[in-house]
Amino acid sequence: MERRDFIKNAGVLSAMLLAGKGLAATTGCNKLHSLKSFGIITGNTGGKWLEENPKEGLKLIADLGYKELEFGGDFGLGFDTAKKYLKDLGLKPLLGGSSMYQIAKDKDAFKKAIKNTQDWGMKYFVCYYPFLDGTQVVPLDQWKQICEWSNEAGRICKEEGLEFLYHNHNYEFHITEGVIPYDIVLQNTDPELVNMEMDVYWVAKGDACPVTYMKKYPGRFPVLHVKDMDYTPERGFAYVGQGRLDFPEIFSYSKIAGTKHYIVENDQPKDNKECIIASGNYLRNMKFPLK
Amino acid sequence: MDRRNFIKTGALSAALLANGRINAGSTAKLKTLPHYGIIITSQVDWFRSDPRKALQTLADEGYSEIEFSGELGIPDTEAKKIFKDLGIKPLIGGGAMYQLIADKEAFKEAMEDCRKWGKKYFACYYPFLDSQKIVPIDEWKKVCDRMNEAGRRCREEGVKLLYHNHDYEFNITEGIIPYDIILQYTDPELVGIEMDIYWLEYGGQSAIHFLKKYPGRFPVIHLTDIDHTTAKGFADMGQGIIPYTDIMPYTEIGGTRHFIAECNRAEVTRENVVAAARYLAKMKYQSL
Repeated sequence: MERRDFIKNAGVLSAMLLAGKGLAATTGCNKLHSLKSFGIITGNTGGKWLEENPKEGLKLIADLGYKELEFGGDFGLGFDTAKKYLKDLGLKPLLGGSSMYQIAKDKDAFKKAIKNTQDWGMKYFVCYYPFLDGTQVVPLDQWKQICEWSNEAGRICKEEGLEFLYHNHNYEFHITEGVIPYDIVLQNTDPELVNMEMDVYWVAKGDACPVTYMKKYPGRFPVLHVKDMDYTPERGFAYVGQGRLDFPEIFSYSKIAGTKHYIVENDQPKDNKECIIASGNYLRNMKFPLK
Repeated sequence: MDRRNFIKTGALSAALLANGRINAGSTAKLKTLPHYGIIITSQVDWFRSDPRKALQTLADEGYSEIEFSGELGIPDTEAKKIFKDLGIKPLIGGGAMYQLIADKEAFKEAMEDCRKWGKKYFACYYPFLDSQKIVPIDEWKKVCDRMNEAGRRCREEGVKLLYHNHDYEFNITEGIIPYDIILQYTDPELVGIEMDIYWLEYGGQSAIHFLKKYPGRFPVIHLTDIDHTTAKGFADMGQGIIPYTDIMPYTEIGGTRHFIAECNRAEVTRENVVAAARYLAKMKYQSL
């Protein structure tokens, strides 16, 4: 999609928005790659600003080069209007989801959520929260139960033409009975039925390293939540590229990990619009080697 | 107010395109620097006491590029001839933000200096308009606006503006490293980065991290070492704690073409200048 000059005149984006895709190949093993595409989860990242300015916000998202969307609801535009608008902008609804309570314990709600995902033409159904309540430190037995529920949900989704994904936080890295629960999740879920939407920020917040798992479980990470971590002692959220996470390093394992989609997220941006712009510009222009 | 966020697909340096191939399973080729240069201050004793001898020393030690500002202590025409005869290219001039955007006369003079010597770059060594170096992120974004404006003016004069860091760009501010703001909010077409590796590492960060993160943005690097004391003073290259052997391969990603020994401090002696050259001449590192 061709970018237009008025974007530059709007004083928001760089002229190089007009530039073509990434680098031409350099020699041998030193080739640097660009992302073929990237997307955004709109609920928290777009926040109030996107809620109040859905059309302007979605257009900005498209102009910045985001291609895929992860969302619930209809941006306040109504289903038909929203669907058409996204199509016209070239934005692809890719992921939607729910939490384990609905998925495992409320069959009707799960069915409804699945149908909603299908209506949007989404490809993935994500479980964003694996517990039935607020208890987030649970014994290994409970983690294995979570895996069983995930496999069952994965089976149902597969029949419905959807791929089921498990989204982590930092509690999957809380050492439990001498074991890291994320290893349990990856080993006790069936790759044919369940794969990972790995949120790299939460892995780091859990004092673990995303690359460790990308290497250990090749092909299990079709989607990454791309979220950065700031340099404060509290290790809060940062706009992608303005924090401490080493994205060139993480992305260099994307082929090994089977990563196809990179979804920008910020749970609590200081400024939603600035966050979307800065993160989009960083991803659009970043380059990384591929192992 | 929205800031212009300028990360771009910068053109890669010739250095990156000239990489040797690495064949899996065979010994990687060791590379040496194609050339190296120096930044001097003409007011320092070792130079000022005998500028002609000093320039001869530079040539003898293999320096082929020079970064300097101001007078050299010998007539310009003679200096130009000496540079030509010795094969030393005046490459970079420099000054402060004040000259670039706050003083029209000073800007004219700065550009005239570049034109006179054939300097290709002008480095901004100090980005603020006052003495405040610990500033909020919004102020850093204003620094970037000024750099972009200054870069535009320099480009009109046929000169490429460079941003030269110290350690304050690595002072964590509102959870952000200001150097990330500099790299993301300056326009690569208008502003190149002269990475001072001493100050970056002194500031507690990793040169490798930034060279990888912003491919092609670092046409010039300044090199000297941090000594083994707790005061982290200056040391001759290769005699301190900075992991140059590990860093150098990443300059290929960074797009570095000019490797400048940092010898412009008041206490620098002829011995430092010689030591730096010998280290750079012999430096070998494994290509990526």
